[in-house]
Amino acid sequence: MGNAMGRTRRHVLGIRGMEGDELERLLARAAAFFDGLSREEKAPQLLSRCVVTTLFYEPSTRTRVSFERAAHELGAEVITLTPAASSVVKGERLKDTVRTLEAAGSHVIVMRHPASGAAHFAAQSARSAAIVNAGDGAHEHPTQALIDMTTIRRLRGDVAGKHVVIVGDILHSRVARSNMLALERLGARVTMVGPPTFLLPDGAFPNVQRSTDFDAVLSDADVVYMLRIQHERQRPGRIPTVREYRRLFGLTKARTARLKEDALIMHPGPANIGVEIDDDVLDDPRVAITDQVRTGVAVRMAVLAHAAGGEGDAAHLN
Amino acid sequence: MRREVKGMPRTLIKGGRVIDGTGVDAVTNILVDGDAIAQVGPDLSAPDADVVDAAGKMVVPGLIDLKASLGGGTVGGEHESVVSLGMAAARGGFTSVLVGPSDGQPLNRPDAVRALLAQAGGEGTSRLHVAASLTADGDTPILGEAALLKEAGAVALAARRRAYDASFLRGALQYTAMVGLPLWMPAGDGHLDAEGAANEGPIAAHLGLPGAPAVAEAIGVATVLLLAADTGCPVTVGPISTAQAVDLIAEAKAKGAPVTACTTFHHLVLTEDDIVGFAPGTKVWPPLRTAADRQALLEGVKEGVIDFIVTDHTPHPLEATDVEWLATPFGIAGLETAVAASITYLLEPGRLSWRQWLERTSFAPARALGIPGGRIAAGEPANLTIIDPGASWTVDVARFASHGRNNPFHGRTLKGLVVETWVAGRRIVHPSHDAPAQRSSS
Repeated sequence: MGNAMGRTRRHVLGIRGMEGDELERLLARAAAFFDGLSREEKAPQLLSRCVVTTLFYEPSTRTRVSFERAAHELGAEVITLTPAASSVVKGERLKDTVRTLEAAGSHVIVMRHPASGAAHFAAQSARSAAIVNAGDGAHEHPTQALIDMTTIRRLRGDVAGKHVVIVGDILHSRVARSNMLALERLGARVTMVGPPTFLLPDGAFPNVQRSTDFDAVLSDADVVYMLRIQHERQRPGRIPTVREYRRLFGLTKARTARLKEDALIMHPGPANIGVEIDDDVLDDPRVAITDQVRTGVAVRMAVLAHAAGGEGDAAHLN
Repeated sequence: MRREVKGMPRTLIKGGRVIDGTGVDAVTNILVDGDAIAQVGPDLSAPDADVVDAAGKMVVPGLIDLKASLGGGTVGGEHESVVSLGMAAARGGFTSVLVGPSDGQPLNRPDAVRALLAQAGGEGTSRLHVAASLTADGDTPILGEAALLKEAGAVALAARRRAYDASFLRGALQYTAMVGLPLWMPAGDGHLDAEGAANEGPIAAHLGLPGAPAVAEAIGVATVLLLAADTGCPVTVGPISTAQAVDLIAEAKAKGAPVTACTTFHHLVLTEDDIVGFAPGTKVWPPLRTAADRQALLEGVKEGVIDFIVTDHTPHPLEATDVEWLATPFGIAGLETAVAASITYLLEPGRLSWRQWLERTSFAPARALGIPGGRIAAGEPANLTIIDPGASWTVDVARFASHGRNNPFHGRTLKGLVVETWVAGRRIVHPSHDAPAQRSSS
């Protein structure tokens, strides 16, 4: 079966929307792809004659490159749309862009957009293409969460039972949301840490603990997940200065000394060195940041194969 | 087809269930002669009169919407006109509408008020009244020409923003009191909820939408209530959306402040849960709140803390709303679904009685506008709404008389159909919703 049009597309919009064993199947598939890549095997050409378009309304290097590598690995043709160089700047609406890309032959559209809900809207607009959410506003970033789950499993065996401490601007973080959803599903214990101006309101994630005291939860963490402090999202009144933020919530050498010996230090990248994480921490053997990046291509291969649908599903799992 | 029957001397509206504000609730007949009601009674006969069979239908005093606008302000598409607004009002069962300022029509100059009123009142349309802008120019806190706007025909003033400071507001209320117009003030704090798009809480947190905290509305409402009491300027605050605002208004009213309050049909019917999945038509201001807030609003309506239920009709063309949720402008085109949404979600389930609902959608609004209303009796103007409460129909925004296409009930099957609207004796018969879609001509 080489005809991409005969497949059943699946949108991948968020961890929340994943039904039944979809999350587990994606993780299993990502792990299999990871092993294959590690052995330098040629991946099955599941997406031959498929066109994958990356449509990024926000700057991103690693996510886009990792999706494009994944598409190439599976034999897809890749189109990169840079909105600044396209008609998007002329005011073309998202709906029309999606329809145009479909008409031009895109089977899968990987999109990143600054507005929460944009990927859902694109999915409603799409007639034939599958939409893969590579980050929408502060809503979801499902592939990052899949990467992080895969990384934890690979390095520490299981996610269930782990205490994961997420530190930073949770309120504006799609990474935090997708991770909290995935961690909850897989049975981890989660604590969000930051100043109250960075935390989600009570009740948003009933099973997630809230803390404003990083030092109090440090020694109990199996994973500390540091979020990037996004300067562009800081308004006066949320934190006074970056210097003060680092004092209260930065991962310093002194703080890593109090972490469990087998703890993991994670970050979705790109890190602000000297703000949320110090330079001399990066050499700590517990830092898993490059492992996360390494996992990225395999996870996105799994997601693209899933989105394009069709054969390969069962074939590759076993 | 919409048709208007003119020059008919007398019409007998027969066998409908008539409810009015004087305690009448009976199956009876109404004889309309010219622009007024000639007689009411169960044994009426008028052999020469045309007969409207209202058996099984509700015949109530014309509904009055105290907050609607022409919406707009976005580029592209067919925007609401004065005529389409008037037709949408009639289709929705509203015989009178108070039209306030919006992005598309700021209503901040006397000639704009005159122009709107001159275009109003055409065939198939309801009566329009104008609430002109409190400020001369949108965002800037500069007083509008209140006296000249009143002279041009405005019957109220309305503030469009919530970002005014207490110093400007106090002066504005003092000045408005001098001119003698009631003032409509939105609820909220323009700083605290400046970026809010959805109610702050679990739903907004999950969807990654900027939250508008309930306390911001309370702060704004408290400011307005305190200044109304301080200046003596009669103020209507709202639409309100929170339990906290209901409490504050109840307290201010108990102390005798010259205030009234409104909420919207959609805030009584929907909650923040309806946003989940970024549902189209659910981005409104104030945002949809919690189920507890909705319950408090319903109690407020029953107890009279909330005086009016309004549509806050804010029409936008499809071109403006067929975009990602956060990019859609606030507001819904609500005139044509208010009655059916009320019957389906408030009256049928017994959350409100017909009388409680009519008090807030017809009787009290008539008093506020200073126009006759609330009575179906000989000598009263024939402003009537005839509703088939059992008829089901599926909302299709493409069939709206309004040019607005933003409506959260699109695709839902609702119960309750406005079949006729009588505006000062002018009978407006509405097309069946099963008929092929048809654009209103304007």
